[in-house]
Amino acid sequence: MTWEPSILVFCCNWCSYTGADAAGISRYQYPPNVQIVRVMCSGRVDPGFVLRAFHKGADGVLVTGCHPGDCHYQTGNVQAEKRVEMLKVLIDQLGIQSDRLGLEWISAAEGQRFANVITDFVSKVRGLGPLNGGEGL
Amino acid sequence: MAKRDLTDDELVWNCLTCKLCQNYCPEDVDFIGFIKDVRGISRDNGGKPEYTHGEMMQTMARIVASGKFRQNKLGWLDKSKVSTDGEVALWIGCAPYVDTALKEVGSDQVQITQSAIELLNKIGIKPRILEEEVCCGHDMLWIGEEETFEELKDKNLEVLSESGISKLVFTCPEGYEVMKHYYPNMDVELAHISEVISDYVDEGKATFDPYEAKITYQDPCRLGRFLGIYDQPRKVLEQIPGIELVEMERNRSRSRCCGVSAWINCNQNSKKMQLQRMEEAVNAAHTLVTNGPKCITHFNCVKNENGFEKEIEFIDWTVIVSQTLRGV
Amino acid sequence: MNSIKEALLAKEHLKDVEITLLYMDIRSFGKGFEEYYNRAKEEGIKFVRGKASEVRKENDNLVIRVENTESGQIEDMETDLVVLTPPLLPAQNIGDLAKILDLKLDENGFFKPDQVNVLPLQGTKEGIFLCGVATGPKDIADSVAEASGAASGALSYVKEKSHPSVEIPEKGGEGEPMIGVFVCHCGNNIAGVVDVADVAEYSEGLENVVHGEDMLFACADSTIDQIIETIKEKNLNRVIVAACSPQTHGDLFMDALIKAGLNPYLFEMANIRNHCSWVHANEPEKATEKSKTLVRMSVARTNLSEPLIGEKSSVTKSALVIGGGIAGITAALDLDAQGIDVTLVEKEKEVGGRLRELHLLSPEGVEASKLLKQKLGELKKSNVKVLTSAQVEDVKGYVGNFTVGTSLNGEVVHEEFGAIILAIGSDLYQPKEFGYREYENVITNLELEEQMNKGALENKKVTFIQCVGARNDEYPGCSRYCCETAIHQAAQVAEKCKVNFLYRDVRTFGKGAEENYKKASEKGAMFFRFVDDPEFDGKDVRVKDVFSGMELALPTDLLVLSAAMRPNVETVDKLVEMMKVPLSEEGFLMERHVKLGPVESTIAGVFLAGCAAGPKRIDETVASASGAAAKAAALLSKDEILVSPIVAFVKEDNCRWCARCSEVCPYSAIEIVEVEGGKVARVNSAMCTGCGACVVECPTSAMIIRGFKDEQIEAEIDAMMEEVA
Repeated sequence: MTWEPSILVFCCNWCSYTGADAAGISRYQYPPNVQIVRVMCSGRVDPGFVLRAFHKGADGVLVTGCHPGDCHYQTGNVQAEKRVEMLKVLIDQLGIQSDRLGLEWISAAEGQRFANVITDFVSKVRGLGPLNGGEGL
Repeated sequence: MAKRDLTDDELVWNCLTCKLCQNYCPEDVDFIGFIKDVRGISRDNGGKPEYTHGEMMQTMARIVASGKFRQNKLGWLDKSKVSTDGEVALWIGCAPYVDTALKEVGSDQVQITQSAIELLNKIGIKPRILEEEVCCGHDMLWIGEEETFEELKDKNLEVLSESGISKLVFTCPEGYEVMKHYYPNMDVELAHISEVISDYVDEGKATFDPYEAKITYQDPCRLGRFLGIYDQPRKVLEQIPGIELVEMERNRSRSRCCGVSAWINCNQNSKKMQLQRMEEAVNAAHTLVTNGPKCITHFNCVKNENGFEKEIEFIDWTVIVSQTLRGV
Repeated sequence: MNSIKEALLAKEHLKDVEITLLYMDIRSFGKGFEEYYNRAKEEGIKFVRGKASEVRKENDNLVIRVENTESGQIEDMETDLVVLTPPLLPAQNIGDLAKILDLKLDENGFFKPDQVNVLPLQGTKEGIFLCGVATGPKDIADSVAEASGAASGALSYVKEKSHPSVEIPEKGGEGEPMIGVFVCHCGNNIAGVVDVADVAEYSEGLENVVHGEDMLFACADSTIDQIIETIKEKNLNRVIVAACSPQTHGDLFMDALIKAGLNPYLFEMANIRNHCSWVHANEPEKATEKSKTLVRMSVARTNLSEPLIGEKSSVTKSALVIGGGIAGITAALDLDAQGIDVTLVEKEKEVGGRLRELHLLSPEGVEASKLLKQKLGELKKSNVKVLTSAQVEDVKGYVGNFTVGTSLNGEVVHEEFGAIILAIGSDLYQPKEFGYREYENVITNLELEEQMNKGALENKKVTFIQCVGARNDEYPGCSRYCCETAIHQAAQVAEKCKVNFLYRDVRTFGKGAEENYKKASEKGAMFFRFVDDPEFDGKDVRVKDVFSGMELALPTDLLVLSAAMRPNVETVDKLVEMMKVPLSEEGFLMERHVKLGPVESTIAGVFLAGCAAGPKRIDETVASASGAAAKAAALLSKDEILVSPIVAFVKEDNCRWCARCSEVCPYSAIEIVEVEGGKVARVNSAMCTGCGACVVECPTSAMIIRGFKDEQIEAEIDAMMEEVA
């Protein structure tokens, strides 16, 4: 069987999770390599969760939230952005390509965008190969 | 009466393993060794500590231990100051990771490592940096996560034996302690940077620029009570003109911990303990010199927080000595 | 629209299928529909404007004879399957019911509203209300809005109101978890792609799952009863439904748990429809595997669930209506009729909104000024507190307990409200095309109302252009109101003028609108369909007429542009800033659910009336305003409400009172308080919204969000990465 990436997607309850629902309602198709974990806000994504996912073998992690200015909790997405920036540096130091971690803003109405973002991210991670392949010792 | 379930008992995890109790124990019971083993048992039964910082530090150690990735933590290194074939190596450890993860807290551990390189250069040593070294495993050992510790230890033993070095120098007392006591059959000499400089001072060659300050010195638990290194750092500080070295109320073997160990169970007590220690420091001096990167990170944290507004400056031993020691 | 949906679904199920859709006008006027239509075209569905005259069988194939009304050609089309889209007809025995209730029917056989524009939900007999398809063909969103509106009307007659109070079981989930997993077919929606029986069987092998079952429609009443029975019979103390989205169906199943005596937070949903079968329609095996993973993740999370009870919060028994147009007035009057204190805030000097600018209203030609007068009279008689030249400046608080600052005469006054209705209306597009503002003889349809108010037009050549600023790349949505309005105008103007009417599709779907279309034609108005935008040089409108294929030059004395309805950007921006109301793609306020919650916003206690949520005609505006009032009234009829238990709490032993949590909290819900020997962070659960920012910021695991604990999310991550057994 050919290798397929496993990707964890954090969705915030208000925008991107609903956006993912909207993608379903409109039947926008995207690759089945992603699993969604729902959190109330992208600002709830603890850096520890992201590291944990990579430790457990996730080939990619995508944090998604509301567009800047649209956060249901005002500033959660700003917090998320700050943490993803930090994590990109950190995983790079650990030897995990920083492209394996993504951050995208998807509104509740953007079903099409959700599908596009997932399709693009899956193909990007597929291009990077398995987590312990490209960068292994 | 029901038996006490130690699996989730906070006493198992709240212990700092600072070894202060063993100062007083008439029977010299290895209480902290006991704690370490109970933690392992607790973990087997589903227990776990209260991780700080979202378990990031532990997860990083596990990622490194998996051996799947080529670390890339030396971006800051000036290669002209290190050698690729010397016999003396400097341990880097987790400093770059902690700096990235805790940037907001104000962690600047790489600065200590860089100061150590400067310091070694000044006494004529271009240290080796072991690019393949992995986390020393100290924290994993002390939180009872033995399997991760074993993986890290085995990898490091391999790296050390392949490197051909004869001496390994530490800025962080934890790596030193764990290797000295838990890495078997080491044929590499281990030393804290304060021992190396102390020896250099003993040779009579050292001269220092003045540093005007009333200073008190914090003994890290691992360096003091675990490794017995109390005199060497103090001796070097006393050589620096302008430094007035004073002791806090509780010092040397009675010294109090910086408040947290192994990135777990930082809590109400930790804060209270830290505030008390700050109080002691302020009563004695204006500057507190620590001798372990993690200690200074923890003290910086208290200082950034509300609850302690008094003036005190923290500086790491390696940094102050590298600033003042004159090169050959 | 339904045909487009079915065509696109068929296309997704059968990749190679060729689909042709025969139509007369594309009437995709609902919110987001135009975008859907555009997508269908992109996906390769062929749209042919044509009439089918016969279907015959030839050599095992079906052949349709079609008059392509664009090319004028009669064509034969071979096809394997013909799908007919019949019209919606009045219910079979509607006539009998009308007799029994003494209600009048309209000429099409649907119930006749008392007054189409202002009382669209009131039958011809007082006290009887109408909604949904009873009054004419409608889609789900409009039916749901109307249903709420009709309820609002009925409630104004009901004096004694009581709420059956539902006690939420505080307990459940003690001891070893006993998890039941119910996997939904959703008819063919899930089962058409995912092997649901396999998923159900797989679930039984997961930690602490004692029951796994697949069911045709998990949300059907009978199935819910069955779930409740199974919970009792098998002593389940945690329940997972693998079906659709918790956003739309979570509450329904949580209620089932309550009925079964379990705390509703011991329930979890695995979204194997929206996030799986619908989006991986062509990969059934992988979709089945993914569904198993989603169930596995839910089980891991559910093993750590705890019963949760929210704190009780009081309800301020008054409502604020923002915006004094017909929507705001209707909502305020409805609430007043139900005995609720209402404040109506209007930023202009007078209430009335758009109605002040209109002449005669479609379809019946009711005078707008008369209608307004009637409404203002009602408002005067009511207890509604009307504030004009007033602006809402800040909104704080939460459902049942909003504190709103309103500026009036340069002074900001703060007042408490339990519910807020946003009736902020819309803006009209200011055309940049067709020489508007350059040539004096180019006006908008609104400006035409003004002219008609002054007197009838005579002896002029008048041309209408539709869809100005709508249904284009910049703004794909249909504005809904304008075909009907312009045709109503055209019919009036055509009495004494020569009228040409240029359109893309005629969308006269409202009651009586199609009849006006016919009337306008009869009076001599000429209708031309265009695809490429017409041009105007100040004298002639040049357009390529699709039907004749001819380039026409239409001499024009007066050009009327039907301007698109656009969001009221200034007000919307202010609301976004004050209340964080989410917006849909075109910038209108977003509904809780387009179909199931059309008059509610995504913020608890905040409701949407009229064009705030998207373009609407007057009767639709009135219906949605009544709907919003009904929803607000339902909330305000309660003495207290349960605050969501998904809130932060502090594990005080772990707290080192660093205050990072209170600094990051967007709602100032956290305070650092003195306790013996130190300080500690405390959370005001009524103000906490459960976002979790504090949890991540806390360095010492002292902050915990109930229902979204670190351990639960970590368990999901771990379960995701476990190999499928």
